[in-house]
Amino acid sequence: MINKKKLQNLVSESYKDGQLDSETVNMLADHMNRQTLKQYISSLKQTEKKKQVTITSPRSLNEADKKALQDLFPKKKIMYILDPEMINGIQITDNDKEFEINLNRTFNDIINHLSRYD
Amino acid sequence: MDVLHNFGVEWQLLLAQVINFLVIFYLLKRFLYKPLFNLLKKRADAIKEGVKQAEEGKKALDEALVKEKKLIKEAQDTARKIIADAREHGTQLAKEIEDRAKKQTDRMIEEAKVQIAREAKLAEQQLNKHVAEISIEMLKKSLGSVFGEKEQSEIVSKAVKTLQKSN
Repeated sequence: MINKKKLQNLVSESYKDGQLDSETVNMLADHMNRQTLKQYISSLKQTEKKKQVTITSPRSLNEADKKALQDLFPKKKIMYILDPEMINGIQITDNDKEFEINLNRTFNDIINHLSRYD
Repeated sequence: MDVLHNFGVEWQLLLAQVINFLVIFYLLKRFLYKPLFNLLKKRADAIKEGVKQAEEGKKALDEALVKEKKLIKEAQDTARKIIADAREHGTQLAKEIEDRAKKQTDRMIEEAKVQIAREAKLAEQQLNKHVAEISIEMLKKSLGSVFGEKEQSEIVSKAVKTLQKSN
């Protein structure tokens, strides 16, 4: 078992200029046992998740909107996902925080509300 | 004596006859009458005993008949009582069965009513949900063409403003 501080150091060393360095990751992985490797991969995934923001929208966003969103999350990588089922709205997921305006979900909530209290 | 002689009775002969009679009487009494009387007495006693026993038997028979009649009457009374009890029990049992059947029927009817009401309610809810789903599906189809890039930009602006405020 590797302690949390050491693991965090290894994860920090795996990044160069804010980007994950595959050579460093491979070199570190070669020197780890199975258990430590699992912990290292899990920590890398968490770190990547923290560095990434997912934006889901029913149609492609224009450049101005994309810039406004990038300015909102300056140090993070933004991943855009299209979901036409949303009808209209946006879903922004930043690690464990989430902001959502979803017309489709609103409709579904209305149906559930009607069927529950009828 | 002359008188006897005149009538033809000879005293010697008479005496001899008397002696003969006495001898014969003694012999008869000694060897015939006494055993015969004893036999007759025994026979009479046996007959008396037989008669007595017959009377006792008749009496016992009468008593047995009376007892039999009494027993038959008691048996008849008991049988009548058993039949009456059985009839009463049967009537009571039939009434209980009828009551139970009536209660069960009432309960089944009540349960059926509740189930029908529940199923009707469920069907109504499902119908409402289905109608709502169809309405919303139609709404979605019509709204798909209504919302364009402008509306999308407005939503993005709103999201950015909200997140800026929260940060």
